[in-house]
Amino acid sequence: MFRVTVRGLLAHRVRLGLTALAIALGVAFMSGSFVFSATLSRALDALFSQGSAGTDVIVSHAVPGGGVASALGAAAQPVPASVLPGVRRVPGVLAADGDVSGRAVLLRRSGQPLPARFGVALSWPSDAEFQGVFTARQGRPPAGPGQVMIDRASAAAGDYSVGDHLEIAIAGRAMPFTVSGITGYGSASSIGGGSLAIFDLPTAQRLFGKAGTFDQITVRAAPGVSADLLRDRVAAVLPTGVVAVTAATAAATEAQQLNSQLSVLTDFFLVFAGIAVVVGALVIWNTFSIVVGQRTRELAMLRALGAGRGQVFGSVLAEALLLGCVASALGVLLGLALARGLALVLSSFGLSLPSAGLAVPWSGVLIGFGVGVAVTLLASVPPAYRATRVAPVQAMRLAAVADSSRFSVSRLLVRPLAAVVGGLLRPLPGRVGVLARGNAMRNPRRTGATAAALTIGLAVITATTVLVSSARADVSKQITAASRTSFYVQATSSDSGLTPALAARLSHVPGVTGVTPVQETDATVGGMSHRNVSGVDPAAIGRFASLGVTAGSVSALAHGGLLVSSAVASGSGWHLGSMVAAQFGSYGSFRLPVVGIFANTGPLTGYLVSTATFRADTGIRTDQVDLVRAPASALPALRAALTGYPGASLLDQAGYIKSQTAMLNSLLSVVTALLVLAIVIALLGVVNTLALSITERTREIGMLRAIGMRRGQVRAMVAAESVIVSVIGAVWGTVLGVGLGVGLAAAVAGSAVISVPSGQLVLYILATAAAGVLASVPPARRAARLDMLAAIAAD
Amino acid sequence: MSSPAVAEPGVAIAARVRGLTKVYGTGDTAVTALDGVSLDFPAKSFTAVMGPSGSGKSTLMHCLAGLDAASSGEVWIGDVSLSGVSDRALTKVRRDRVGFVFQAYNLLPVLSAADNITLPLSIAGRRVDAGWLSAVVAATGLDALLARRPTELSGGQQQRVAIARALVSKPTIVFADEPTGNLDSRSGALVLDLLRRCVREFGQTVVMVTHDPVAASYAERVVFLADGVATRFLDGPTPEAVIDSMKRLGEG
Repeated sequence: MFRVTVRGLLAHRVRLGLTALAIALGVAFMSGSFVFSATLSRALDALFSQGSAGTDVIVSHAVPGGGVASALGAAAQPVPASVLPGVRRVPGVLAADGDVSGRAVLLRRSGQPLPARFGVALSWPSDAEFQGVFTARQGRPPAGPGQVMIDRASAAAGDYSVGDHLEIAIAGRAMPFTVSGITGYGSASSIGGGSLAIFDLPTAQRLFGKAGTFDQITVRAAPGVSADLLRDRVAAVLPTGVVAVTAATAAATEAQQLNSQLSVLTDFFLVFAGIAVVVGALVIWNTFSIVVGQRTRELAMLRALGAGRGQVFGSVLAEALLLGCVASALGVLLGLALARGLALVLSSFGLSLPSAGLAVPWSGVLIGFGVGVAVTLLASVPPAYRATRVAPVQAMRLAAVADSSRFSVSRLLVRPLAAVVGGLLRPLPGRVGVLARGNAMRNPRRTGATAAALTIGLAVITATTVLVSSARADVSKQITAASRTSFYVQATSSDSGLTPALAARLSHVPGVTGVTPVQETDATVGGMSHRNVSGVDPAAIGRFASLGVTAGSVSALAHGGLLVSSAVASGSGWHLGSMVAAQFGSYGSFRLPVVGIFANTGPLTGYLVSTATFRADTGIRTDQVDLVRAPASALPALRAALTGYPGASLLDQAGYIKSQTAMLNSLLSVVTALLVLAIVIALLGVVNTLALSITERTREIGMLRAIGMRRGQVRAMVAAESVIVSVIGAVWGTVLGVGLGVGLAAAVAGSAVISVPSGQLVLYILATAAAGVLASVPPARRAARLDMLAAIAAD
Repeated sequence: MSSPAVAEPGVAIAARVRGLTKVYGTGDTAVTALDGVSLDFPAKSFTAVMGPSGSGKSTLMHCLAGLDAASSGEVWIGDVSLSGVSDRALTKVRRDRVGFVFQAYNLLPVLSAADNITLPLSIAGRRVDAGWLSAVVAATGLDALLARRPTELSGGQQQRVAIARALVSKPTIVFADEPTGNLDSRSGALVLDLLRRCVREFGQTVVMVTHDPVAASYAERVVFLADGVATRFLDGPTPEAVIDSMKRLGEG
């Protein structure tokens, strides 16, 4: 009897450990997200205040909705250079300097871009008061059109030293420079994972088409003059449209803007943490249900001895509370480790955050802990209630495991699939498949609950797959149907863009019959944010894409205005003549009339303006893609024409479709990776259920071993049961996910094409089956090692 | 009225133990369950093993059947020695040469009676000998019950399924552990009669562990164990003779 007790305890420990892990993983994900976002936010604050060190007031163009134009933002209206002398004369100004920024990609000696997350170009501040952030300098500041100063990290990565020749891609085109100096940025060797190219002011103005203007003017206060006071004094001398803010406010605003973008990321993580917690709750509910079922006799005895229903309920809940607390504490610790890991991953991508160490927001940690405990308690309420229903008289009966044969939903969902999968496993030697199928169907509710945990994760993965696949098919169909372009010369980085000179250069390539540049930017149109707007040449675009104009005309774009796709028009209720508000970044807000509606977006977007309108309203001087009409034989000549343009990639139609859908694919990868956690938790549930079922079937397994079943066959039997449960979960998850995905693709995403990638979905199911085999390993091992004598001894 | 433990030369032997000793635990807590037992179980015989609780009768059966390893001594099933062989080899012996009948029937609830009967063959990957199967089914009187699940059968019917399962692989020897322990006397009598017929009609060797003198009287021979030693033998037992022997056993 002592042996049995010890065995029971050991089994308990494993079971408690697994159950705790199921909830701990969800809590870890949740608290990890909070800690990571707090850490990131603190690091960004530090980064931005570092950038404005030595500056008290910033003068820039006013942006719609108030605030200040971001120095790193793509579209900001410039400040006339003529403003600077007036600012310098303001009493209390120690120093004032105008600067210009842009995008520049540093190249390796091989001509390939250096691995930086982004490439920033700045002008060198002439006044020493503003040079403080450029630390640990080597060499000299840039002077003259051929000189550049670069950051220490890029210099190390590209093995450049002072005096070396260096090529920099600006608007896609490689330009030669000499490294005049190398600098750090504050305490770091680079600017938040990006590269730095610093030119003297006239060079920067020329390179970025900002002659006679500044992006902003930085002002340093004389000793004893407060930033607020100086701001007010400076503001008084500025022309309309130009504003002054304190550097602290500007840094905070920028950090906050970036942070609000990053908080989307946190929300995204939290959604997946929520899914993980729900799956964990299912595992807990199932485990407690099984345990209460197995303890029926013990509970009945307690009741017979006079324990009240409340006491029985309380004892189950107390166990859950204890489990929840331990698991959630474990989860919070895991979460800290996870956040640390994420920070390390980020820095390995080159985004080294200036301040090391984690910011731990106690509110976030407490939320994670509280959710863990609450979910564990809630999940244990139904089993605890069932425990109170145990009648004292059941103590006197032989505690036979109920072979529930009544009709139920879970039976309906489990039985047909168990039959099919069991049928597939039938050829396994020694009736292993038949036994496994019988075991899986023995308690449909248990099998159903175990499988349901898997269903959730797979449903979301499948829905995302269907959505992405449909969107991809939609893009592909649009481009294939409406594009009349043979080649696409596309900017590798949409921030850097392509120089307009490239289109002219391409049109001179032998064999090329037509080239037209297309610009593109992210805008808020008609109140809807993150719309892609294209700038096109109204006279030429018709030769490169059959737009299928249904109202108005493309040529009307030449007089300003907006052409929208019929999908956009019907979605927004716009018609010819509607006035639509378009806001381009921080550049400005404009009202444009709808001058035409077209059916096919082809290689373009749903919103078209003329190139002239685009340049005027966005300030963007570069192109996104040059559409080229040429026979296939022109390919070598085109390729040759692109030497010296490392920022441009030459694509055929298939390649262009691939590049347009690359983002969707990485989205799918990220979602799948995040959901693998939910699958792992569900598999922990499978392990748990199998282990508990094996405890119940000790006698049966002992008998099977006694009459000659080999250990390998016992393991195969448990593995087969695990596969059946996993596949049931996977199949229902896939079915649900396809329904959800098709519905979402049609209703929300408005995909004209619905694509269900059945091959990929079958792969998911097979992968889940394989995972089921893995999950069966620990319980199968235990089953194979069961002591036969203990198994057949009557208890 | 005792007989020698070891059979005369020339008699076919289904199972044999020599100097079988089984000790549980070590040092001060060591318990000797079997103390140098030597026995022969002739082929086509029906032997009952009796003894008070703790006499070692269950241990004897477990060691004989390859469920438990002896501390010392030799065990043969037919001409196969069980001493020092691997778990895999032991499993093969149990599968091909040994049949089991348990007190609690131990049928699989997920399988029908027919599938339970043929389970050992399935596990071994062997073909079902249809002629033999129908003979076994006829002998056990299960023809009408084959499609039923164990939960739809009475205790006696379940035990008959278990006996059919033990016979189906034509084992060298069948071990029955208190086969009537959970049955009423009428069902028990049916089961015991069936075991006896297995010996007489099919030439099966059966060893039955029991504490019931009436059950033991169905056997051809009774072996009495006390304190891990085979102390008495009774051929052609009657219930009264068995009770008498048990009493003397108690007197030491």
